[in-house]
Amino acid sequence: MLEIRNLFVAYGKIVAVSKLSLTVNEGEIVTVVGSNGAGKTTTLRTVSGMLKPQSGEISFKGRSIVGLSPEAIVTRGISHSPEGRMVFGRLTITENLKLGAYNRKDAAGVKIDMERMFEMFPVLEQRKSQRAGTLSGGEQQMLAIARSLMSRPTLLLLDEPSLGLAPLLVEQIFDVVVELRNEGATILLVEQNANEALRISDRAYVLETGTVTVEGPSIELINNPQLRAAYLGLD
Amino acid sequence: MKSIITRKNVVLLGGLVLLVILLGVADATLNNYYLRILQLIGIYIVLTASLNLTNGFTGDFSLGHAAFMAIGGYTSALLTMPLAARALQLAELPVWFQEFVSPFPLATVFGGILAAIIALPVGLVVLRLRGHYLAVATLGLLIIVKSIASNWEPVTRGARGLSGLNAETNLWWAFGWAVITIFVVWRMVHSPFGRSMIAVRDDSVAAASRGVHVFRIRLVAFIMSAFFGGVGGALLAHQLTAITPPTFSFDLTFLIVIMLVIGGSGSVTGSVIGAIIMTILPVILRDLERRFDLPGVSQIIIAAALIAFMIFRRQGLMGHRELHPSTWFMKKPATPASVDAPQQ
Amino acid sequence: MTMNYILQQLVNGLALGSIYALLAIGLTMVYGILRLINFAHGDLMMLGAYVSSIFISATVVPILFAVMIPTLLMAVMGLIVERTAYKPLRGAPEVAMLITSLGVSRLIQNSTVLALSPQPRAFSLPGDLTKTMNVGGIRFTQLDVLTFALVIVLMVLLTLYINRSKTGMAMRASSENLQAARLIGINVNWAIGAAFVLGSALAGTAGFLWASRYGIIDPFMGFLPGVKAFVAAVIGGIGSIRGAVVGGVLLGVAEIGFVGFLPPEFSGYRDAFVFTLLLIVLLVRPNGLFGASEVERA
Ligand SMILES: Nc1ncnc2c1ncn2[C@@H]1O[C@H](COP(=O)(O)OP(=O)(O)OP(=O)(O)O)[C@@H](O)[C@H]1O
Ligand SMILES: [Mg+2]
Repeated sequence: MLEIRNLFVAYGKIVAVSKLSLTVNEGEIVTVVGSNGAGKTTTLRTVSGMLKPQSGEISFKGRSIVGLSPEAIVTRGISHSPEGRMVFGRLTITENLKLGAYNRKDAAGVKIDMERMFEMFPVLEQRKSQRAGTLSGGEQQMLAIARSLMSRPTLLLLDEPSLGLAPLLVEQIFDVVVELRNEGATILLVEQNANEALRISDRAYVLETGTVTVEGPSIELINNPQLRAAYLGLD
Repeated sequence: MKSIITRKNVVLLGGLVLLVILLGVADATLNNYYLRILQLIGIYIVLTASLNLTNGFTGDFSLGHAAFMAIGGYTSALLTMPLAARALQLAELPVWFQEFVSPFPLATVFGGILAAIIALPVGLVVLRLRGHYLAVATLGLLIIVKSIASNWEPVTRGARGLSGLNAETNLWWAFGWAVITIFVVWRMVHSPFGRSMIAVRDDSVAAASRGVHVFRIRLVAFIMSAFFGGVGGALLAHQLTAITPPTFSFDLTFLIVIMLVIGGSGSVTGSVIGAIIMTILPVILRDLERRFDLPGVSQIIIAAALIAFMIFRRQGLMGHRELHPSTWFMKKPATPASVDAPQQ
Repeated sequence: MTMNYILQQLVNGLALGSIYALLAIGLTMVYGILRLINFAHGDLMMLGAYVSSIFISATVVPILFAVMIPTLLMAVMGLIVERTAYKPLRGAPEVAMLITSLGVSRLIQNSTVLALSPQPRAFSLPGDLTKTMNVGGIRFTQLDVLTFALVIVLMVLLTLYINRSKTGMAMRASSENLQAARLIGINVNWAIGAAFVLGSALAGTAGFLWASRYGIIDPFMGFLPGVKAFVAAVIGGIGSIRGAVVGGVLLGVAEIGFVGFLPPEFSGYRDAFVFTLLLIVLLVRPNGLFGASEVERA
């Protein structure tokens, strides 16, 4: 479904991603792990059109999306829930969700999806006319995910959804990801919380200084003792 | 000790001698109209090169240069005003003041010093801001200074302004100060202090974390810039021989800003180039404007050129590069890195 | 000093403040999204005043045209300025945008000089609008009433639009986080265009009101009110529309109060007073009254 081949991305002279290739098949959860500054966020931002790559190819459902605007990419069916959540704190929760469906024309469908989000995240419904800035970190993360689901994506990019959350909330977030998968969603998940992420994903990539060093089924990565120590910081 | 007879110094000395000869020839042959334009070039070099300290090198975009010019202009005018004119215009000032006339060079320096002194408290306030807010705050400074000039009747004579000054500004003073300004700015920028300035501009947080005294650097740059602004104001006042509050208008600040950005903020030689171009171009354009009776056209062209520069060549003509004499006669052209070379 | 005098000054201050508020709204919307001080904003007010003067002097057309036509034309003008001068600078350092807006300001002023004349011209309203009424000793004109009514109606409409419409929502989102707005698929150029259209329209209306109040227009009349309106926006809290309105009204009242209540020799310092106020606000309460965005500080 998503095919990245030989991607190079740089900020000015700083090369953040080089020779990166990565595939996500329909219905999969694919995890990307890697230490700080490895280029995970850069990769996702390039996929969603926020950054222009130096070179390389990104295709989605068989068509190139390099050079498209972020709006166009959202319209094609890719939705990106960014690192650090970035909900609109001065807007209400309902407004945040509505904006997630900004490019959709089917008002009735948007309404149904909004209800669905409220079912999936009951906290949000209780506080739907409050400003998003008043939500707790975990709630904001739920809102960020819900907001990106509002565009009815066929591929969801999740950048560190568990970042800065207490263990209980981390569990909840991963439960949501699993639920989404069970409903047939395709997800590219970036996580520091490698252990959890590998448990719920099908395949995984390890990124190191902008390039893929290891890839394979998640289960193999979890069980590979060398990887556990070297890349995943697991014991 | 390094010998002072380096290639660089020889070239510099040669350049200075050449400048003196050229100015001498100009002084002897040109009529008043052209002499005044040449003087203006010198004055604007002083102003642009000094504004570069803040707007170009520390990245504090000031719109208040004309405020410091006004301070220098009025101060020097008060000091040099001939006694006869003084008795007529400044009768309200104390008696001792009626009897004391300062020579022009001293008055110029004094104008600069007072501008620098005032820049200290002003800088302590406005430099707590950055970016747009600093720009608007310094614009506010200009408006405040103009209000004072317009209303402090006993000293500034309000809207009537000060007149009857001697036309002291000549080519030698204008270019003498231009050379001094370029020299001082160049030395500042190519010293460890200058590297700190650039570090502050490029990333003040990183600079601070490396132990650079960010605020002090910015303040010193602001004060130095104000000093030469005051000097430039004094030179202008004694070219015009009469000053009123509108002499030091926002237009003047804006013109200097244009000189700076067209030359390339961040380049000392760029300031010189910008000042030369933007002194001559408006003269030519205004001439055409008058000849064809198209009021406003010169300003329209200049504004359009400025916008085009911002869109297509934001770094100005020179960017951060320098035209440095020590490289003029070498085979390899100056690289941007050579900016740091002379002062190691 | 009588109560009537005080109330009188208040009416005058509110009238001036309403105009500042109209201008400040446009500035604050644009700054909120683009981090651009649009120095050319006041010049659109000037253009609005000139357009308005055409309809004022033609006695056959209703006065309504003198308000509506400049409002509509400036909306278009604002969009043209945005698309030609500012859009190519997306992502450029803020100083580049600031210099550009100074250039645009000059361009508009001098184009007016070229097309018309640098000389001021009279802007005289039909007599009945300037006739003074006396209610309980406070004198005001129909123009004052019209000013307040117009400003209130426009603010209500604008607030509704910003709060209720999809574009308004997109504008608020873009103003809060441009990156996130792009990421979720908001066409930020659309939101920016909307901010310019709405803000410039209000500047057009302000042109009519300003000219009516002072009775004289010239090509350079807009710059200082524009900058003062930015001061008002900062006082209110940049990025906040409510802040722009409150800041504008406060600034107008303070400025008139400064002139009206201090000895006459101070009145020449009114502009200095406004900017001193700005400096104090920036230092004491840099986020203004309602501001959420942060003033960039050293
Ligand atoms: N806006 C930027 N400008 C310059 N360099 C950047 C920028 N954003 C990221 N980088 C650099 O690019 C590299 C990759 O950053 P990226 O944010 O993609 O890493 P990451 O894998 O997401 O890290 P983390 O786990 O900390 O989120 C880093 O070296 C980073 O410093
Ligand atoms: Mg990251």
